[in-house]
Amino acid sequence: MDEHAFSSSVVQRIVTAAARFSSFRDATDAVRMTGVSISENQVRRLAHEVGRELIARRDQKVVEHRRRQLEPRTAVVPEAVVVEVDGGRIRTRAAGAGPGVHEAQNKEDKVACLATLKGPVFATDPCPEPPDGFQCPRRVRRLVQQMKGPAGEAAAPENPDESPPPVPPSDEALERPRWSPERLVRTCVASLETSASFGPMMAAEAQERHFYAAPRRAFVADGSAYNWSIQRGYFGTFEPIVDFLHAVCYVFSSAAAVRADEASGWSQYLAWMRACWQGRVRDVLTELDHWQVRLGEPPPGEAATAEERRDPRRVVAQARSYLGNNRDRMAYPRYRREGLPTTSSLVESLVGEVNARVKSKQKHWNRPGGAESILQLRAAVLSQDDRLPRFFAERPGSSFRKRGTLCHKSEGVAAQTVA
Amino acid sequence: MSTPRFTAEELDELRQLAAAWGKIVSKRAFGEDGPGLDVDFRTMEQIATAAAQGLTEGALQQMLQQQAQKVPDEAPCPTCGEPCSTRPHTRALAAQGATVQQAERIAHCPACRRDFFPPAGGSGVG
Ligand SMILES: [Zn+2]
Repeated sequence: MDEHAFSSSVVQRIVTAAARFSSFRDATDAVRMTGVSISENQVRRLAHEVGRELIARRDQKVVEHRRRQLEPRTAVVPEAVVVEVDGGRIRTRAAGAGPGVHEAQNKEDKVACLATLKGPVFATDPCPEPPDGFQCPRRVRRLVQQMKGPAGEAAAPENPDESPPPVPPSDEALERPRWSPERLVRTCVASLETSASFGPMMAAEAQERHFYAAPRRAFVADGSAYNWSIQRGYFGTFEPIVDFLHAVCYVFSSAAAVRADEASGWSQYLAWMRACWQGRVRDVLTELDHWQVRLGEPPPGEAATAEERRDPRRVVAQARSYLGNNRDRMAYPRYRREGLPTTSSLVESLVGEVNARVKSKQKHWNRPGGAESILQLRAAVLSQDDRLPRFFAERPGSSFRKRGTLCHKSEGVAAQTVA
Repeated sequence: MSTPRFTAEELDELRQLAAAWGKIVSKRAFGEDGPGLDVDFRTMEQIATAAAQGLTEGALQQMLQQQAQKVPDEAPCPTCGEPCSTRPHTRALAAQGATVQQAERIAHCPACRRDFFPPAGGSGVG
């Protein structure tokens, strides 16, 4: 019988390579360099097999948490924590439709970053004036372009044939200033599931990390409604904070839209951005209301062309609705005093790191299983919690068999003993 | 299912024991006096790696074989519980540092028309 199996410690290396390297091809080469003879298909199959087990484990924890049976993994209560959530896009194809890409679809994946923080609190706002980075036209324009989204010019509907994956905003202006908290340990939750399922997954992870007991807790996201329904449902005791950079984008676009020339648009932006920085978003809203009256209400219906999207009436209406919906999550001076983050930069760079594995023009993941399992593996290697080593250590000590051998599905229970 | 875990100290003790066998390897490869000045490090590394691989193979093979001998001739089918006779079965197992022929036992349940691998060590799982 030509049968081949891999010990669990070898599988751990294979799967780690599959999650770390940018493709199964590269992972296979890396594994072969360690002297293990293996095909790309075997690497792919083992990765998805472990990915499926990670999904099952994750879902099990969600159930345990719902039953209030999930214990924190650590006895240490963190001093300050942040939960940040954001979305990306992943390309998928229909599964089981033969080789090639069938029924390609872009699906939204959700990524959450859970981080412990370290940093001081202050009696007064440690930084009452906006940093230079927000007052430099070149940097702000680049930021607005990078953020895309409804505020940026590039608010085009999702184009299936696609611009390059968004670069996480890593502008030097946005690097961590002295007063903002420092990240300690980060873990990642990623999924294609809806926010109704994603919230409980985030909550289970937060519970295992003892986040609910931390004295200082923040939840940072952009303004999308689903983020705040997760916050209300599962992180109600966390300070909800809207990402300052997203607010800046809306302020920039609306300032440019209401003023006739670039120079006066820029000064308008500076005034409004400074107001937001200083927690005076209501003043900005009052001025935007006046502008809406002067310009008139936006025309009904969706904007169809780039020209229509740039219509100042639309741009102002969007900014009013964004800032209006989020005004209670924009008390930035207080967040700075309390040593809480004011941007979702942690999750944005994490999304970039997830995308580096799951997203490229050539990659289409089987829907839904293939995409979901690679997301679990990628999330595991991007988490500083030894997720894969722990998984293999706690997994019953069976080796992994090659497909199509004698053993049937349920052989896992027929205890194997190879560790 | 619990498996005995070894402490870091116990593992280090084993490593030191095996390290002492390095003398045997060197002697076997280059004689009593060891390698001459013309032997480069790459060659020494090759020899050491081959020996380590052999040690890994031999140790795993030995443990697996002894374990397989403890599997009873009959094992209950995990589906219906009927006792089924087991027979020896071998497969290649890629482990860290070596690939070994794993001796194990396999059983077939005629009633359920399935094969299964009885647990080694008679722990009664399944
Ligand atoms: Zn049976």
